[in-house]
Amino acid sequence: MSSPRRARSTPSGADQLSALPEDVIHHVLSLLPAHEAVRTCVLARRWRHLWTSAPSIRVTGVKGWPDADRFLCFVDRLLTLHRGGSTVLSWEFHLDETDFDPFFNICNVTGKCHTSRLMERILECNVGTLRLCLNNMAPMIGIALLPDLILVSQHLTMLELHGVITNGRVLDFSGCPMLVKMKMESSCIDVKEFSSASLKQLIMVDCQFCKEKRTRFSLPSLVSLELNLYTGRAPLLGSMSSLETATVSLNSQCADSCECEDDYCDGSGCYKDSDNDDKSCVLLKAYFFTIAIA
Amino acid sequence: MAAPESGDGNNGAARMVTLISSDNTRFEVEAAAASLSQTLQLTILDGGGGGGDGIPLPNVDSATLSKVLEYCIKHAPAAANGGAPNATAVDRAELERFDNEFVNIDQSVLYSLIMAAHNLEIEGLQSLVAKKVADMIKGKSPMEIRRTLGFPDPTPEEQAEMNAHMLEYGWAYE
Repeated sequence: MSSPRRARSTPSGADQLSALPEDVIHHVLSLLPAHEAVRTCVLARRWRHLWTSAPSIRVTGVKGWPDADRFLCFVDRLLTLHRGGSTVLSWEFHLDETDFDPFFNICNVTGKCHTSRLMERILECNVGTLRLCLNNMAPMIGIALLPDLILVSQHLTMLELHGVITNGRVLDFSGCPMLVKMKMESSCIDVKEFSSASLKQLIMVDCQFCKEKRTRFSLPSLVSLELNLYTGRAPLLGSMSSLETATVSLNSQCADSCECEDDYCDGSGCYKDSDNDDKSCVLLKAYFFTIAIA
Repeated sequence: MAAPESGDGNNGAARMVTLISSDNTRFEVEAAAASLSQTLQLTILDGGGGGGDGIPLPNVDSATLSKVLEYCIKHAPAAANGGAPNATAVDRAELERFDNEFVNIDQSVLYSLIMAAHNLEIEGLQSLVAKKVADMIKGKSPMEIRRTLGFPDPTPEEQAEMNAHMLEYGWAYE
């Protein structure tokens, strides 16, 4: 079998690392938050610009940024650098309240960073996957606010929003014809209409809907729906003739949560259409309707 | 995708293939383990590597190949189950423990392993070694990164270039 012989004169770690193919180094850099990846420019001339061409970019809030201006300047440089580019497959923008230094003036970020504009600029980089995570930020500031979100991108296939507040009239993805997968978590949906002609998979976890009005979902291509309501009124589902699987659960604080005392009712069974004061189950009716068509 | 001849049929005897390292050492290994390599998978599916033939790997030396095969043998059963969706938590914890220990190695061995994983296209191993290098960089200052990865301290000119680059991106260079 094997008789491993030890290597002859070994080149230094630095030489070996510098000799790695570009896509291997990109793989490594993709695993680092952008502000850490930028530090690898100190390694060698070859590395100076490698980090800027890594196929996935993660921007995270972090202790160590001296102030909001520096942070925003960094984000701005990154966005300018990748504008209209084709190398970036995914962008992750992750701000967490706890990432920031307590002395970091978060208001400077909120005053100067408009999240909708930020998303538009990220999409101008032709990204396929966009993840925007704003953990625990919503209660303190307006950064999480996305009024009348209308995105336009020929490249976006997956969108993930965490901790955002969408309000206004629409959540409109008709400008994103390639969008097939979307996930919203711990977010607030306060819009009249949520529409996408291409969306196939939608996951909404711990989402808050408006208590006064129902959001209309116009998602005709949807195949898989997972809806987990935290509060508010469950949405009105338009025709979904391709729907194959749907899981719906309502938290007890939901306006539609069932208060009947049936032991077998899990709270979502008697999802009422109170606009018409009709106690029939609108959600299940819609669901069975789509099954019947399929 | 199921690995070829992963045990069912053929009297339970797993098919073996021979791999030959750049320094001419022969390694006999189950086809299912070697097939974790995308590069080798097609050759093996075509019936190559059996008998006295062997598949030559001119880019991988014996020390690195024996390490690569250690990984493949450990991960082959899970891979045969299609990424092991029904693996028990114990199995997964064991693989994780193995992986952590596996990359706890000398940097020069690590880089040889990176090249081998890249050439042989072993996806799991590529991710594992890339993550190891990323972890070596994570949370460090630029100077600490240089030292950790074995780069000599920069010359004053290099230092000036770095400062300029870092400042361009809003980073103060400490």
